[in-house]
Amino acid sequence: MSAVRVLHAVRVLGYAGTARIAGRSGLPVDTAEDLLLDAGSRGHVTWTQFADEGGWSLTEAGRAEGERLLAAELDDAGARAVVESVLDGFGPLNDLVAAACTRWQLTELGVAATPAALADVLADLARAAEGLAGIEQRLTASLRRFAGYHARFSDAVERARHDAGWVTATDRDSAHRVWFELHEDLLATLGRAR
Amino acid sequence: MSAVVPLRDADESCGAKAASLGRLMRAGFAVPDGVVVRDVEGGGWEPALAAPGGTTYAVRSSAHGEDGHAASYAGQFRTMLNVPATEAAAAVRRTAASVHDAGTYAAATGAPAVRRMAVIVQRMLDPVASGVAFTRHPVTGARSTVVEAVQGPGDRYMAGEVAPQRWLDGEPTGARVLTAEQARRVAREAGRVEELLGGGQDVEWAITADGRLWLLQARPITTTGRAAVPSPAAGRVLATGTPAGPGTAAGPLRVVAGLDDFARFRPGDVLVCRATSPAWTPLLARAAAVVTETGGVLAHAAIVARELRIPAVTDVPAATGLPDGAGVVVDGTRGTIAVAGPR
Repeated sequence: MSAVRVLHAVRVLGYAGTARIAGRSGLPVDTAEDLLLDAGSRGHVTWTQFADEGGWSLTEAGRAEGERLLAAELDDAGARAVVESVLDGFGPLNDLVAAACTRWQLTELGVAATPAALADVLADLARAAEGLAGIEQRLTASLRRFAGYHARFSDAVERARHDAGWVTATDRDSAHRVWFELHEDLLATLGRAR
Repeated sequence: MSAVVPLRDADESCGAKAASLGRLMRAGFAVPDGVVVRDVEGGGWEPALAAPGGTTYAVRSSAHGEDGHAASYAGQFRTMLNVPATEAAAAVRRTAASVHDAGTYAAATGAPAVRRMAVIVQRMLDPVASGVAFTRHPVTGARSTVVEAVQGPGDRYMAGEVAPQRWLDGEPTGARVLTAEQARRVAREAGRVEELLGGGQDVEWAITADGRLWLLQARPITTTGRAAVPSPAAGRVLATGTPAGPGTAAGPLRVVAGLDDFARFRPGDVLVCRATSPAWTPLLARAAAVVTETGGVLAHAAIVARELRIPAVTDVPAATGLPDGAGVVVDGTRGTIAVAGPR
């Protein structure tokens, strides 16, 4: 079970160091490292070094293997119908978040036709957080691993009140990054492509 | 147009490097005094070289197209340090001649060729410490400051001969060079440069014995790809899509099919793909621009691209069929991908 947790953490994080993958999969760093090295020897993950920093990412084989394991887990839990229903209804909420992030970015870049007020952007994201609370409740009823998205997303929206970087920054658990992970998680769970 | 102007008055007609330094001086930053020779071939500028004062000079190229492009020309153009006053004129001529080497480089990478070369002549400092500061994280492109420092002048460090002390967000590693307070000062100054010039900046600095902090150069960080110079020349339009991230950048087109294809991607490439997932963020952080087949202005790829300040064009139907390796100019404001070079 731990092997699928680690592979899935790499999938949703995209590119991350061992400590972050351990945190995301709820495993001790040593255990996560062993599993990552094992997955690496099977050709499921690969380590890439950029300057003085490195991280793990999936290979196509690892992506396929992860989807196979997630599908088995999904059917064991009898949760396929609920995840399909969540993803099918995800569009409007996804658009709400993407549009709020986009309005704010275009405002910050100085190219918005009508500049957005941060308060309005955060009000939209807060509405999305309410929707997310409902989604997470439905998902976690059968798949515990979906727990935490609502808390992380809400935390980002709250922090953005004082530092607007928390809306879309790529270096922290910003509202957009958490949402991007959730979207990837849903797609991975059902083995669907973007 | 006069052949030579004070560095303080330099504008775009003096090339990108001199224009940035001129802007910094006018904004009150400490930059060693100097002059810019705009027209080396015309001659008549030789007497003006004495204006900055001092006995030795730094002579640097300032080409149009230099420093602002996705494909960095760093190190391609000549910089000469500790040039005695008597040899300054000869150094200016040799530096201007290096434009030919740069033309070869541009042809090899598909980058636009340099049109004209100006030369900066500055008073040489005798620093006790020097180095660079990056206002963006080199991998993620996120706002974060990296300061690298060596004892004395920076030329051996720039040549990669000495390992620097490195400060990442206030935490030091490596040799002991700067105090925490000095590192903070450098980081703050780099942040102010980014505020003035916009986008991630790669700042060269030096501290002299009197404790003064000087700026020697500032240019956009290559890996975040933001062009601070006039748009690169673009030719025939290859494809159009939804303009999803503003700005214009040039680079070789790299079609990346999937995860197993990541190793083919090089910093400064124009990333072309169907769609992106979180795994693609490190590529976006090093791309000159991004082009996707799917999405729209709200696509995840577009949001990440805007965050990283790189041009993005989405909804380009046959993007992954574009010619891999071709030099292109991506205009994320108009939504076009065009062949690099004159119309």
